[in-house]
Amino acid sequence: MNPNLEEICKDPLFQLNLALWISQPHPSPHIYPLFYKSGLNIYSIGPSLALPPDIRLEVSGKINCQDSGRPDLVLELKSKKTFCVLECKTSSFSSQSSTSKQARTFLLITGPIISEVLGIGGKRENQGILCYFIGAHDTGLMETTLENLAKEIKCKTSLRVGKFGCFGIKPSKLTVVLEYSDHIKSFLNLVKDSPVDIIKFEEDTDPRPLYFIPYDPNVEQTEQEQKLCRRILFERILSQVISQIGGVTTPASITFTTGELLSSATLGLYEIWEDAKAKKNMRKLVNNFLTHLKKSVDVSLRGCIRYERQRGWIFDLENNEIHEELLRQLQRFKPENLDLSEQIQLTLFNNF
Amino acid sequence: MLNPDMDISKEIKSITSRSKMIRYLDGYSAERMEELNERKMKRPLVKSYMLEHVGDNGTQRKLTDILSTLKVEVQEIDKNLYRVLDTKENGEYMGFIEVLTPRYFVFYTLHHSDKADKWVKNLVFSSPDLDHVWLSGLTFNVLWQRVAQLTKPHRYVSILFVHESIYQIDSELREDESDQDKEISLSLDEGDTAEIVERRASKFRLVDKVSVVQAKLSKLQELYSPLYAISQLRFPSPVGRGGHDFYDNGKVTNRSGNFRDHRSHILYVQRIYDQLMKMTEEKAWYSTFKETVTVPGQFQKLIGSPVTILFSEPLNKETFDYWIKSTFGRINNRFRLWGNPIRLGPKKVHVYGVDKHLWKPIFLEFTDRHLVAIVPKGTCGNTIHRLICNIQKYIDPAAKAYIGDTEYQTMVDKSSKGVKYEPES
Repeated sequence: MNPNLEEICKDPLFQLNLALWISQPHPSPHIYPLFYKSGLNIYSIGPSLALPPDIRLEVSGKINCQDSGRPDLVLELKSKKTFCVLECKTSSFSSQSSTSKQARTFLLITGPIISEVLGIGGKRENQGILCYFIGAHDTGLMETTLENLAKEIKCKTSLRVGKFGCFGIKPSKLTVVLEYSDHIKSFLNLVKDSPVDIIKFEEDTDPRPLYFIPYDPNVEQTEQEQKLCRRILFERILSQVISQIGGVTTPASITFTTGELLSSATLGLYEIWEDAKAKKNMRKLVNNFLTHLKKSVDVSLRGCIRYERQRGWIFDLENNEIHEELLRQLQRFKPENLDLSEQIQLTLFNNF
Repeated sequence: MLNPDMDISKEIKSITSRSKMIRYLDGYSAERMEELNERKMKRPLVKSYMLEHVGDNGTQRKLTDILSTLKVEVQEIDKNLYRVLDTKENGEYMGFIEVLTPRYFVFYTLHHSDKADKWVKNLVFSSPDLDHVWLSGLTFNVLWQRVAQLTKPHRYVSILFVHESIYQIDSELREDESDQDKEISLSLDEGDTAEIVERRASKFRLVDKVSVVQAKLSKLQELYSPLYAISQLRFPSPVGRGGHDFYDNGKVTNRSGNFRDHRSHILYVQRIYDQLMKMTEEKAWYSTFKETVTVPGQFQKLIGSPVTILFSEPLNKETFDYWIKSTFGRINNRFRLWGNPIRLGPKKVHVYGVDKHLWKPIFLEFTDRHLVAIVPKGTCGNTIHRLICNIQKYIDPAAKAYIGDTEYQTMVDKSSKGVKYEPES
């Protein structure tokens, strides 16, 4: 085990899961729950936030931004009526890049319009901050980009933006460190001075925590990270299949749709992803996985598993013998033996 | 010669109402108490098994339906009270089931322990809808406090401690597959065939005055951690000698001369357990929750808290490896977990697996210092209690458990304080 710690710290899925973990109440000395201890709660995961119509009219033709955006996380600090819009990124980007469109939208959203955008409280009752989780080496560049974007909005429109900043994540000897500026600390009431040893781990050990969100088709990851995340996704789908089959009394017929399996494996996030093509890709991925699963059982049992286009995957469990034998064989299936870097090719007729 | 089992079956069959059952079991208990006093036991003691009907409230199957699929017929003799007929083979009346709440019920029986234990174990094993009520050492430590409050200081209390570090290997000793289902016997009589154990194995009974145990136990526990692993505790009877022996798997043996008092103690512990279960599930269940607001749509919240079990000292590498290997390398394992371990280091493993008692998903992080569990919504709180029970019994008797950042023992304490010690009217 020789994990590439620099790459792990830059992985947006690791960053998102880390943000979720440090918002959880727990006593473990290996992860310091900085957000939880500071009173920050998860307000929403991946919410769709839209600019109000008057703001869209005001920015139209003046600045290059999106009408709406979906940040990875929104955190709430109730005591200060403060919301932190959090976005996880592999690296910084320039104010000319396509990603900057999304950043302009988030900067506007975290301004005085935050209450209206979230649909809570009166005008100016709440305040917002846009924060990026990013590899610590990129925080300087990222902050410069955010400053440039904020200046541009100020110059070209009459609108005000919210506060902004970065949480830099970097590996140290046997810790993962979180760095942030004093203004973030004071705005979010963080209980510790930067830097904070956020994860402690042992030598030759991967610092990743258990993943709440195992997969996101829209994030950039290295091949190694993608393989691990795909394996976690498959393990979770397999655990769903085994749980449901194990819990029935025969005779029974159980139907799984790829969408339902993805939804339970991603704690419901699959349903809110908007990228239809990516979702279709994921359904195809799960479909291939279930095909492999079917092929892994004895020929005599394969007849119990069938796929119907309109209904999904159907497992027919006629009697106890079939039930027990199928369960036994499913428990022996190892997703790690699959080609986890296989590219999914959609054809014109794929409809999962 | 008459078959004593058939006698018991016939006697159960003749009981047709709640009052008859109570009167019969009361008299039966008094007779056994006399025999116990004379050290001449002629028939088995009354035993009760606290069981849980698991599953989501919305999808819970009827108890009668669950049992009928297991070829067990229940015949209603009063409101929430049933006679239990095992229709397999010759058909035999096994005892009575009293439904306490939609979630909990008790099975009362007069059959011998060996037979009754096996029958109940088989029932639970055969149905993912049923489980034992699991009382961990941490729960027993709090219940012991209640015993001390409820009992006069001169009365005697009996506590059994059981801990066996089955994953700690100092010799060539290895479990084979068939060993996996064997429970550690709660009897202290090991007979001539007892294995020679070269790993930590503690099993002993403490019987002393309540006042003495109260003064010494916590100090002894600090000195010798297996004393945290209480596996059986006697609630002394307030109406005479003896008492009610509660075991970690929800079995309760009536060693008193009064069945009504026995039942009252079961109701008391069941209420504590119910409170604890509600608190555990409320805190620990992970789910995303959709909150709809007018603008701009749905918000996805993450609700729940991780379950963390911190070991009192790090496990050595061999113990850690053997624990993982024997749990996930075998379909039948003591923890009844399934999963494909993802190795993240020499002493760190992730498992996105299944709790096979109830066939529900569970996500686990194992290290030499802790175990973290994420329990998705719908997974019964019992999974957590059983996990804590097994960790104390087989891994670390002094382990501390937390639901979120609240110590489990504090939750048990809180649960037991809110419950009145009185039978239901």
